[in-house]
Amino acid sequence: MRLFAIGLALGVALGASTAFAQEHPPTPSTTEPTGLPAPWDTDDPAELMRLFDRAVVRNQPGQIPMVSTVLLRGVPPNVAASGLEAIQRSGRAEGSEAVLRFLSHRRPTLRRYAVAAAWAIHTPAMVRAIESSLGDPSAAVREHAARALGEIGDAHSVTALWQALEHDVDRTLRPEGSELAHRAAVSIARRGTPEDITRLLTFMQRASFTAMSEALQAALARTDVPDPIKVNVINAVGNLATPDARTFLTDFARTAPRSPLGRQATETASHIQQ
Amino acid sequence: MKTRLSLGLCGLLALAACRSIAGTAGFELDRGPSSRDDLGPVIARIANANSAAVPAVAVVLPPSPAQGFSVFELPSGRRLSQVSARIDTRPIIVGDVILSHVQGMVVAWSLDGTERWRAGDDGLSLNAAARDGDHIAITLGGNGLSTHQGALLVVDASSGHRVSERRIAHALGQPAMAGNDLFVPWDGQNVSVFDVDSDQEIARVRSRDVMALCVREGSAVYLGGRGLYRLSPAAAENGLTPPPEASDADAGAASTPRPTSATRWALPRADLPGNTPFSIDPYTTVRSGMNARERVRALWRPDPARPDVAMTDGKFYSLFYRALFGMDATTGAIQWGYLHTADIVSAEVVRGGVVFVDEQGNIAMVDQATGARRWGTSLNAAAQQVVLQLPMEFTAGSTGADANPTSAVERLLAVAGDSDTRLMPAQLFAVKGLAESTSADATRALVAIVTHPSNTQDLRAAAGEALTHRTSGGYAITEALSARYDYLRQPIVPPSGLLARALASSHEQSGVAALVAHLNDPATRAADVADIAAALRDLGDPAALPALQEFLRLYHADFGEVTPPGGGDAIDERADENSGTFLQALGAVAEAIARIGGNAQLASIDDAISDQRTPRDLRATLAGARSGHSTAGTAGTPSTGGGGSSEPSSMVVGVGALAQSQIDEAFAPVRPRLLECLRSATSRPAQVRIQFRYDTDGRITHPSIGRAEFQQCMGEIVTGVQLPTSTAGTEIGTFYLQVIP
Repeated sequence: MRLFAIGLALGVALGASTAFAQEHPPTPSTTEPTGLPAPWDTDDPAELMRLFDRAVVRNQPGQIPMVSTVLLRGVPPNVAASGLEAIQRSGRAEGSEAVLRFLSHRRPTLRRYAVAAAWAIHTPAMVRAIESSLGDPSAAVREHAARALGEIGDAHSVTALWQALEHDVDRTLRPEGSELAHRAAVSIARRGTPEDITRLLTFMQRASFTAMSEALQAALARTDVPDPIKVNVINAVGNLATPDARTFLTDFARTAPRSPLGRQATETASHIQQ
Repeated sequence: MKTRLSLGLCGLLALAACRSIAGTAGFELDRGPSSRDDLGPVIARIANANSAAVPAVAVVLPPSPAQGFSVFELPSGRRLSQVSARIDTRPIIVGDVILSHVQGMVVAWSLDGTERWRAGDDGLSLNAAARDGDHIAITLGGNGLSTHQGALLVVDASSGHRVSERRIAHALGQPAMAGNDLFVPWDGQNVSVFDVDSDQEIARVRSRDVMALCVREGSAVYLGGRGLYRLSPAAAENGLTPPPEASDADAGAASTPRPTSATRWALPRADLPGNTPFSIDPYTTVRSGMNARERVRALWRPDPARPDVAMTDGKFYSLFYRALFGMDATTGAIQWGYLHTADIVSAEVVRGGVVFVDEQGNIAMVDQATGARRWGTSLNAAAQQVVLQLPMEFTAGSTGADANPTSAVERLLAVAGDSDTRLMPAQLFAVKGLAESTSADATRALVAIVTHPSNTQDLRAAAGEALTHRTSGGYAITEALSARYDYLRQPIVPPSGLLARALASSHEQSGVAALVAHLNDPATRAADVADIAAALRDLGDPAALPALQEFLRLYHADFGEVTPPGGGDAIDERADENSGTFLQALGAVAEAIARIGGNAQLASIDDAISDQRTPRDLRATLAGARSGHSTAGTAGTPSTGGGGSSEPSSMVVGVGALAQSQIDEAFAPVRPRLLECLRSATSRPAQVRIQFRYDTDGRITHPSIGRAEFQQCMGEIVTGVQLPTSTAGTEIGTFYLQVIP
């Protein structure tokens, strides 16, 4: 469920139609803007972008909040993109207010910048906000959000990613599958529990192998996933018995040829006709 | 002497014999209408005529290729007989006789299926019949009003012996009998009254109103065609003329209701689904087999127990395939709707409700007050066509009654929400029924129609338009607004603009928070943003001010291209909405701020106007929104600034845009011409949005019609509209053409 930054001093409650909104409603408040101090009070876009750069480089307290304040006063889109990028590069939570507001901006491109900035800040509130972006009207924003959650997500995020995967896996005519389903699968593989990985294997028949292979690679690469689970992954791929499956197993075996998993992969691959 | 007397007596007898077979002159064109004194005895006889009880029966014609018909007793549903004759006209039931037409003959059967008699048809079709006692009057012809060719027979009901016969060069309609008096409408304007015994035309009624049918109901006879008159002293006094308010120009409009008076009843509304006429054309034979005219009908039955001309239970009904509506016979107010599971092939009004038969052979009765089913059973016979004969006081019991009857609102909603695309006229009519109800439940039902994604655009537009006039049930609108777009959970964008307008109409303050949420939702269309802002303005809740100001701040400079993350070509995803619609939305936001807030809030508008990055045309819009609410100077000074990649519009700066009321007033004279453009449309929207540019001199250019199919026709009309002069420079205007009133 996409949470919309209301930006009201009243903290207006969002509609009760989604669980995520009820759990973690980010309600950035915008107070009445006061006069900006120089040099931030300039209208010159180029000058503003220089100030944003400097704020990142100097990394001093008070600089990123000024960036946020400038963005919330309303700027042309290229300036907004520059400001959000500065917040992203700084990774400072002081930029959260603007990030939350721009996560519901009317421009999909700026929402993507905001997702990237939220990713960089990665406080729990930002993670919740990115989860809401899985329901964004723009496919590019949804995919970016899914990708971000693969890096910074938690157990709550995995639940949101499952919703995205379930929703999209059957809803595309593209042979390679939906990009959101792809990214959601990868992120689940990266952040989910062993049970989540086992559940991912049930999608092998529904999703394209192209969409699933990266997820399966991510699962096999994790050091915290027990070997029996990884064996299940190998066997599940082997059961596909396709040339792509053979290539997958062969490539994996090459990364750890002497390990038990590597030998398992080699043997499983050998049963697949070329 | 004796011889002369004998000869005279023989002559009289011979003359009487001739009269009884060949008939005396009647239907003379040079005969004038009868006076009130002449009609008086006729009217008196009607009131005293005995009215024989008629058996309640249904004659059911099976679907093709089967032939013939079956007769069922009602309400038991017991099959009385089955006739396999190859009939070609809709059967007519007159008491215990069934008439139809078979290969050049009029044939009469008893209810038990035995053939009683046959009569030649003189090469004409069986059109209509009436009965009183032992006589049956039959009109032949049935080729429409314009074909002046017909025959009138009076026969003995049992033997078919011809009592009288006339072949005439007139079109004959639906006759009626009361005692020995026979009433025959002809040529659309006349009703001749014949004495059956003497076979003389004893009275004549002529009317400027249409005369097509005569109906005997108990102690009354009614005449009419587009309206119904009760043959009474009062009607005779008026000469059966329509009230003075009816114009001659309406004479050709079958769907235009004529005013009702104490002596005349007409359909009180002209918008029945399917453009339903007053009755099935009585001058045209109804053939056997499926007939759409029988499935799209107005249903009414005069009540002789009520004074003058009044309908049974004060109701009339409209049938449209599977949908049935009950309406007040005086006001036309829609009181209930009923949706059946199959096409209704025949229906008749009785006291207490409507009895109908569907194409699967199920028969039922719905209550006149609520539309709830009171009785139902099955004839176990599929039906392509059914003829019902039911006494006024038909009683059916309670078998098959609705166990859990739903409310009138719920039933109207069921009609409106049906997926059968044939029923669109009935669905729209059901929406009207909901709109006519002032209850909060009706508001909720309209909201359900608007927000249900499977409903057609026309239906949702009609319901939405009705919502904007609601004054109760605003909570239902607020509830609907709580749903917002979410790709995973709510992939349909709610009609937030329409709901916003409805919320403002009903003054529902509880919806302000939901409106604000939609204002900030990127899935909300630019056009809806304007409606939301206008609604917030009208609701006047200061709690909305921070969100409105923040919205204006965020977007007043959001114009131009931006490079995507990670590089690539710069794009302007908002170019289309920024070209006009969103500017108006921002203007609406500014107007809301100005209306609700004080000088402190006006400063936020001033900030946007003075910002060099605000495009000039937007500055003009903002200044126009502000100008009516403060004397603290005006904004909108032309600026050469606006650097960066955003390109300010080259439009001339100006203030003082026209008010919406001025635009509406200027468009009023061309509204009929604009509506003409919709004549060939496959679906009529509830409203059409027309946008355009206009200049200081009020000239309109660049018309943009909301529906592309109307662009050419409406565009030409729009550019011809002359708006008032203004100091606007170049502005963008909008006119909403309301199609559904």
